Amino acid sequence: MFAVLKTFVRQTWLVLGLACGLSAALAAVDAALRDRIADQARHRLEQTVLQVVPGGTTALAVTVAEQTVYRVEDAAGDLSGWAVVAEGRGFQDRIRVLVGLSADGRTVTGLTILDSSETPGLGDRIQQPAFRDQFTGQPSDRPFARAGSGGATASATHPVTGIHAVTGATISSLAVINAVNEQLSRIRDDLSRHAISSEKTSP
Amino acid sequence: MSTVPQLPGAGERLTQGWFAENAIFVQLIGMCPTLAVTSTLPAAVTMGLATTLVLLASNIVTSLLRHHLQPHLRILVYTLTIATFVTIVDRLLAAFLPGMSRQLGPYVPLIIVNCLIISRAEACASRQSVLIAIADALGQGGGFLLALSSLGLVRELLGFGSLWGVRCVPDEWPTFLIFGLPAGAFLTLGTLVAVLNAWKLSRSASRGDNHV
Repeated sequence: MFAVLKTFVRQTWLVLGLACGLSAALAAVDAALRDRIADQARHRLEQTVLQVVPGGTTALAVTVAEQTVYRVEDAAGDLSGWAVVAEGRGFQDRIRVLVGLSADGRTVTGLTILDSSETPGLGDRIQQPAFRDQFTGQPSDRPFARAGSGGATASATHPVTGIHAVTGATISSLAVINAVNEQLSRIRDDLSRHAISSEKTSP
Repeated sequence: MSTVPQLPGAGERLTQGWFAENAIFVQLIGMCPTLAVTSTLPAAVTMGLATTLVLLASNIVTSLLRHHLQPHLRILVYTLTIATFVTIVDRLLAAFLPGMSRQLGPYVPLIIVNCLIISRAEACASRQSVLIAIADALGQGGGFLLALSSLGLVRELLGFGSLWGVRCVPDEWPTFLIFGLPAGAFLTLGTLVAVLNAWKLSRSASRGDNHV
């Protein structure tokens, strides 16, 4: 029994010792950098939130309809809008979109891409203003749809807001459109209620 | 069996990695980052430096432990060492270059399986002194950085008309999207390897060598 243990230790002391030492080094690096990395992620998200909601100066994460949304306030502390994260499946990977909404939740105030790994030069052009700005100023209760040939056309019974897809990147464009539609239909009314109730409680 | 082949010294280790035994253009190893993250120059340089840093740390540790390595457990030791330093570099990038860290994505953790690093541990660091191992890491890492940068330079210039994110060609100049895509990586790499080989052939031919 002891002989087996002795052979085992003689063979593996380096691997075992190295594993302990290197794990300690990793723990130290994590402890030293964790806060900085988390701060950076938070800071980046906050900056992005303020980009899609004009007039805001601070962003607060709050929970509405069991989701994390960002409540944006101006310098005076009044509600200036909301930002919500929408997620969809793109051409390569998931696409995460941040949508800005007005205080009453009825108008889209801006849209930006948080994360995407779309094809450089093609799908990643969904990040350019020419595509994103089509959403700005549009009502949030009217679904977005791809405009042009093959796209949905507006009818009197089902009005839609046409969005021109990026040339050569229909899948990426549709992913954004669908993600936004899905998220807005889920959260729009809750945000409106929230906005009204917070107006009532504020003096 | 009386003569053991002499292993190269520090000076030779330092220089051979740049050209004569360049990891990308001659050995053709470490192809994954070479093809995946060289669409722009900044990404290529960051990947080259990150890999060099890991290679340097791995070579130093491996060389220090070389007298205690068990033949059947040595790969385990290399992998442990490399994985640790890659994770450290990954966290450093996330903390200090968050934009680049997001752009490189999974390719930073994938440095762990870059066979350039484990091959240097096996070929040099596990047999030679720390000084030679450091020279080897700088030579091979430098050659890797040089190769990635030259791919990044060509691809960014042709694919996006810019260098280091700054547009530097006239507006009427066409950009070739394909150079930003994976296919462009293969085209650029193949062309660069062909040009280098042609140059080496013509040089040895002019010297009258019969063998290449």
